[in-house]
Amino acid sequence: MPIVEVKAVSKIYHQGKIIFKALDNVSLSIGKGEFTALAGPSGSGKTTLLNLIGGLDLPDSGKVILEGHDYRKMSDGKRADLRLESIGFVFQSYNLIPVLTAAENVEYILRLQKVNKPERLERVRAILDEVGLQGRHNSRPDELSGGQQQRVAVARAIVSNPSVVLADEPTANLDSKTGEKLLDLMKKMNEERQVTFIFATHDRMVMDFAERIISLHDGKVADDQKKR
Amino acid sequence: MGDFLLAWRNIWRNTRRSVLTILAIVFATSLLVFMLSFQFGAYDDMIDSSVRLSTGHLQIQAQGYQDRPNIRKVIENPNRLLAMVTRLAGVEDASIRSETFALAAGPERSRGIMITGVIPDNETGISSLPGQIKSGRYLLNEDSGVAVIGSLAAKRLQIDIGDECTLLGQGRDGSVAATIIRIVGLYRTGIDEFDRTTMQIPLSDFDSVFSMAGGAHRLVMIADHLADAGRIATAVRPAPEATGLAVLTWDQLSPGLKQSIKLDLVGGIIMYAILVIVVAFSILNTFFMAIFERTREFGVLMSIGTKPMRLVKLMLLESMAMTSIGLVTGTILGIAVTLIFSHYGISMGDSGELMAQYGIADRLYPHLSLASVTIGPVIIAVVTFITALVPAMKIPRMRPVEAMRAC
Repeated sequence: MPIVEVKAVSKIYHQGKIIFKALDNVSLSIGKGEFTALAGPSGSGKTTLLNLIGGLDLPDSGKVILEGHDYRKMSDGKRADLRLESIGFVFQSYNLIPVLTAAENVEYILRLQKVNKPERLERVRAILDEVGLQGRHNSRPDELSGGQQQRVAVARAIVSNPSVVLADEPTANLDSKTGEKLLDLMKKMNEERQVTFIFATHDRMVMDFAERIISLHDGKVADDQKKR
Repeated sequence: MGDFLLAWRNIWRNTRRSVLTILAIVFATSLLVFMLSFQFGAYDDMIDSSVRLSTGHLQIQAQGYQDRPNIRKVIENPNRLLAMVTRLAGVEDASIRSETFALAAGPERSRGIMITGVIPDNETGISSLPGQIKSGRYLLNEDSGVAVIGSLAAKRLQIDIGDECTLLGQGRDGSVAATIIRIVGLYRTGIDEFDRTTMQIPLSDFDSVFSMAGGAHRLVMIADHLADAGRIATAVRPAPEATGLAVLTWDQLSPGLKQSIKLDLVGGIIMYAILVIVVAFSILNTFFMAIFERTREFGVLMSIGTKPMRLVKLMLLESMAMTSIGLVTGTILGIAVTLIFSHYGISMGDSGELMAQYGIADRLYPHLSLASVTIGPVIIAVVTFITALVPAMKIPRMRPVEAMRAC
């Protein structure tokens, strides 16, 4: 059973009098445990599609279904709850809370989930160690390198045990070596935890790591390749 | 890492802006505490000085006497009434007075004068006048045929201590009232009008000279506290002894004093409102800037599952934390400044003469009270909360995707 279903989705943006069709009748499904890249040039609609899969935005037509939940039938609050419980986000610019330490950033999600304090602290410690940030738990984002910040972001996305992690250009601000290490980490988590990863990217390296590449062009699925 | 800690750290993201905002709250709070203490203290002084010099906190009179004084409008049995009111809780002291206009004549000159008959021993408890004798002495209970007179009146009549003065007026029964009294004391209250036109004689003399037949014009009461006046008036009105009589409080006896206090208060309120509005704009600016700067962050927080109202709560926590620091610091500072000035007083400079019209000293002393310490901080707390709510309520209208696109 697919974990993500996108059915005949279209999304139009209005910029003044100009109408821009970001997605045009896109349909696809992604199964549990997949490591998928949404590829394409700038303006192809990959970030728009990622936002729709994450329930951050709603399609103008068509359906997006995550774990059987149709976003159009859900209130903003219910979608926020679903994001909290089922989706982890990794952003291009890390987007950590600057006034919180690495551990507190990761812990924030667990506080939203109302996990009790001893369990929170244990899970935060374990995940930060797992992403290779031993000894940096109490560092603020501005005390960490880009790669380390993105590792915190991955830890934040993973710590709540989501079904899906959505990563928007996660390696774009990293050098290739750091980007590769990060992808290794995410691949490991994908395999060990059976977490579905969906990337929006035009980074060749990410596509090399991906098991499936869905290419978008002008808001349409141009190609859908599985490596195995 | 609770919401409060997050709010606290957010406050110090832009230290300079937060410090300036807090300083604005500190300044406004301390100023309000001090100014309200000063204003309330001045009002208390004005009222206390005025009532102790002339009216008392309450009076009982014949109906209509306040508006149209007439020697024939009397309290028929004042001693019975006096015995009743002195038993009332909250009444510090009380006494009886009678008064009339008469012609006072010295060796060379004569002038119209207000003659008040008083019970000397009682008067010490209800009036500040016995303490304002400039030369000679105040009246004694056993005195007869003597008077104390305002220093300016004595000057106009060209009389002094030991001199005789002839009084000529009309008795309650319409008869001619005339007597000769000897001056034993001169008083100076600082109120020229009062010092120029008044004289006091023992009530027993007044009763016989003006054929009062035991009647009196005013029963004057001093309450333990100014605030008790209304309660005492309510207690006195239904008493059988007060039937047919008017019970008046200080503000009815001195409407001009009350009006001047009201006028002053309105001026103060306008100034305080401007002050609070300035602080409100400072808070508004701080939080609009915070919202604009952190729009992207709010978008991220919403995208990872934070409910918008939780972010609103976070913003309000930031506001209230800053406000609390400002309020506590400002209140302590305001209290400290007030305590210093309540010890040393504040010179009124050229306004001293104006204040003297109400019998107030040329230095005013702010009085700390629960009201003066709490009114300002409470108003600022409410206004800042509402002011912070305005920008904070923009958060629920944000869409995560659009917010994350913000710079």
